[in-house]
Amino acid sequence: MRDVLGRALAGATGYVELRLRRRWSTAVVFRKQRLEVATEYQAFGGVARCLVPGHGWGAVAFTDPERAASAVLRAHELSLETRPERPISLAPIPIRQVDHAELLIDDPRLVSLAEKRELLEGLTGELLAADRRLVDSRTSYGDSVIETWLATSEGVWLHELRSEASLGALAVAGEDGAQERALESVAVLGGWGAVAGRSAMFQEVGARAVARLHAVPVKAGRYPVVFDSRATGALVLQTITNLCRSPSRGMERELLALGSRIGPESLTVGDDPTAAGLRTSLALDDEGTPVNHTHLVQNGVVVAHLHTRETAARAVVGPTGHALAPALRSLPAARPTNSYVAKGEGDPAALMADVPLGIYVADVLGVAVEGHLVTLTPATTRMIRNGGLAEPVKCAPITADLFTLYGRLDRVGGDFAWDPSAATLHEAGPLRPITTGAPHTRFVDLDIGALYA
Amino acid sequence: MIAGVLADLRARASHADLVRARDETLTVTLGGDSGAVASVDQSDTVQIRVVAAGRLGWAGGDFAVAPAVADSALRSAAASDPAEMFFPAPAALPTVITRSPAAVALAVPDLVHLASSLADRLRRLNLRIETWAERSAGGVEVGNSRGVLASYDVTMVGLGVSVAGGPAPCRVHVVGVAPPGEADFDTLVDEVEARFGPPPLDLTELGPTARVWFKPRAVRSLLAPVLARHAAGQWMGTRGRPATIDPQLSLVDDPLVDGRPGSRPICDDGIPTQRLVLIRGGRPVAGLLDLRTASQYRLPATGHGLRRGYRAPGAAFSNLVLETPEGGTTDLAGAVGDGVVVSEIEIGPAPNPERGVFRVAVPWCYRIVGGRVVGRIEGAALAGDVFRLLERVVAIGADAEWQGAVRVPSLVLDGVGVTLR
Repeated sequence: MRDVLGRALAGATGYVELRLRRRWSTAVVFRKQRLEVATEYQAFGGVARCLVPGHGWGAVAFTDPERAASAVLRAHELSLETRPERPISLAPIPIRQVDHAELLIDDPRLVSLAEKRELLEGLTGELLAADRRLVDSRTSYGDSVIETWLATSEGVWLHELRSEASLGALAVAGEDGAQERALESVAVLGGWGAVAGRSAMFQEVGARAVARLHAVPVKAGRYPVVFDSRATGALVLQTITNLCRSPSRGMERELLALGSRIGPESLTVGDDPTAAGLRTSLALDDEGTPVNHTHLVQNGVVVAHLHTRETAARAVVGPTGHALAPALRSLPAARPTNSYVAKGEGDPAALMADVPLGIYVADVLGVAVEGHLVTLTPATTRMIRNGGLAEPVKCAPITADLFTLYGRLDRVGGDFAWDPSAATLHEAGPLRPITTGAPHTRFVDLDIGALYA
Repeated sequence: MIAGVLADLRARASHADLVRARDETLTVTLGGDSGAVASVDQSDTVQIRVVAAGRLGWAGGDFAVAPAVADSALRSAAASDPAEMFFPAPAALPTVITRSPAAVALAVPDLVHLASSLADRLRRLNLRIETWAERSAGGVEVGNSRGVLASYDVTMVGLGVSVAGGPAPCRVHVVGVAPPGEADFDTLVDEVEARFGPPPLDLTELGPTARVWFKPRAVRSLLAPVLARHAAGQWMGTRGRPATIDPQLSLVDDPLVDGRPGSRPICDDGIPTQRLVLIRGGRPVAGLLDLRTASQYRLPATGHGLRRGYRAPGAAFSNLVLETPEGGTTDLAGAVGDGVVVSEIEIGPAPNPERGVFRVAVPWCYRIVGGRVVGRIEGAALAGDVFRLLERVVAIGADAEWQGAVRVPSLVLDGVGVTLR
């Protein structure tokens, strides 16, 4: 393959980048105990990009590896056909040649579809057997092996082989006409063995759905709210991290300005693609830039943005190694990998100890950001009474202005955990997996509206 | 081209069907932080479904490796449960325009001209903008082992703009089978002007409920929970029975409208398409049924099968039309009197989206006083239950327009929860 890419790049003028990626995947889905999907597929995607000095980007995406050389030529022609208002330049990068294509341990491609089905069928049975009030479920198993080749005219070379596996469960509990649901997922680096021993996850998600049946809605008002590490990670990813990545094509928008204060001294946010053992960690990004651990917010102040080579050059900073393509044939744009909130002080109990009446949010169903308006939909919530966790409750979505929200962050806990669930950044088009990590956090005086139900 | 693959499958499975989709999309983006980009995306995918030993399986992949995809489909069947599928026989296809020769002829310089023309028209607003133009051309082939073998060509042209500097990113576009005309440019410019024109207000109190004018883009989002109840599984299931809405409203799925993104003469299940009334006079009367769901319930499929590449087979809406009484209101601000107007909303995650309950931030929200728009409201959020709100429509706009595959008018609704941050 190295020779093929070398020949395709030979003779090209300007900057040329050629990325080939092949993916083998499996998907199994059950709706209750009825099999809905059991399939496998392989896909190939190539992208040739060219930037001729004084012109714009030319790019060709293709599905037939035989077309690599002609794609480079066409990308060169397309580059010549555009002329930007401002010249495009690329920040310089150290040239690396990386080969991470060792044989996989637990290669999921060596396990039959029937065995994967059997695994999920068993877990689904355990979920549904946990309580008679579990009336519906949707469970899933997925795995993928991805092989990547990347070569550039500057001499970057990457050959990488990696695999990951995932499980997901949605449980629906019903009683006396009421229905409630709970979600859980896990997505980890590794193969078939990585999803073994997950019975507890399926039983717990069923128990959570049942527990919600008798939860009463939170009385509207203003409360201190403690978010668990998963909820904190999701909130910060969709708000601060998302607003600290330079815009991609078709996504013109405002960033959080460098030097602006977003939160208290205790708030430090970053993105660390070098974190060991996570499925979204990398050596080089999709432009071949060695990845960097980047602090985005330091002691409450925005100090950096995530960049591609192009946006870094425009901002006159070094590239951060976050140029990532979400799909086989998509172009790279600045995207986070392992978004985290640095830990502060005190265990989770200490964050609740002096709260006479508050709300504890464990996980979120989603975080929507419209401009600077944030809407967070809690998943599992409980009251905090006299410093301790009390009864389960249902909580309406929490809507707040971004700066007001983080202005009410008063404690960042000393615990920290990477969240293994299958997280993604909310954006249009294909989604790229992301890992979040955070401690518990406490916000004061958040407005909790009435729950429409 | 797919006949050979089908012939091979006939020898290995009792029944089979497949869909091949070819596409070449040419995109030009100008301005903004991405400078200038011209890109081509070529794809050629196939999805194969088989019944072997009474079991149903499917797989998707690149058409270049169709034999390997067929092998995967057979392995899928071997790992699946017994299932009945009633594949359709060949039938006459309706006529509908899905392709424009003018669109096929568009090249990079033409797209550069479209994108830069739009940028020129918006330049006087002195906003930071990025414009794009896109042309997609390809074809779909559908076939099955009972003799269905059909194909149609498809084109699509889009023109859009992304504007920064407002309370939220403003992204608007038009799309159709043919290249955009003057009216499309006017639509885009008018939309951006309407959003950025009114000055921000220093408003501290509003609500708790208000009369709200939902513009067509917002109505499209508002319909999402309604549509969810008309999708195959939900429609046939026992949960979430469809709710009745205002009798002035009828909702139609129409794949036979010429030149829209959802237009097609045959669905991916190999069934000729047809107009389907989903809601008549406020009462739900039909839901989409793809071939698999229809076979399960022994009902006729509605011609809404969608099976592309790796996407699991299912049913999908084609072109949606919200039909309303003739005429409609032109003075919608007057119909509101005292309230707000929203350009778009995004109904995001909710405790249970199927119920239609929502609570969303609305950055593009404007105050109406005395039947006149007086300024933009900052930090507003709307809340309510879509089904309850649609039971009491105050006014229907005379402004129905196609936005992609959806044609809806403005609606003025009462009793919408409104809060300020």
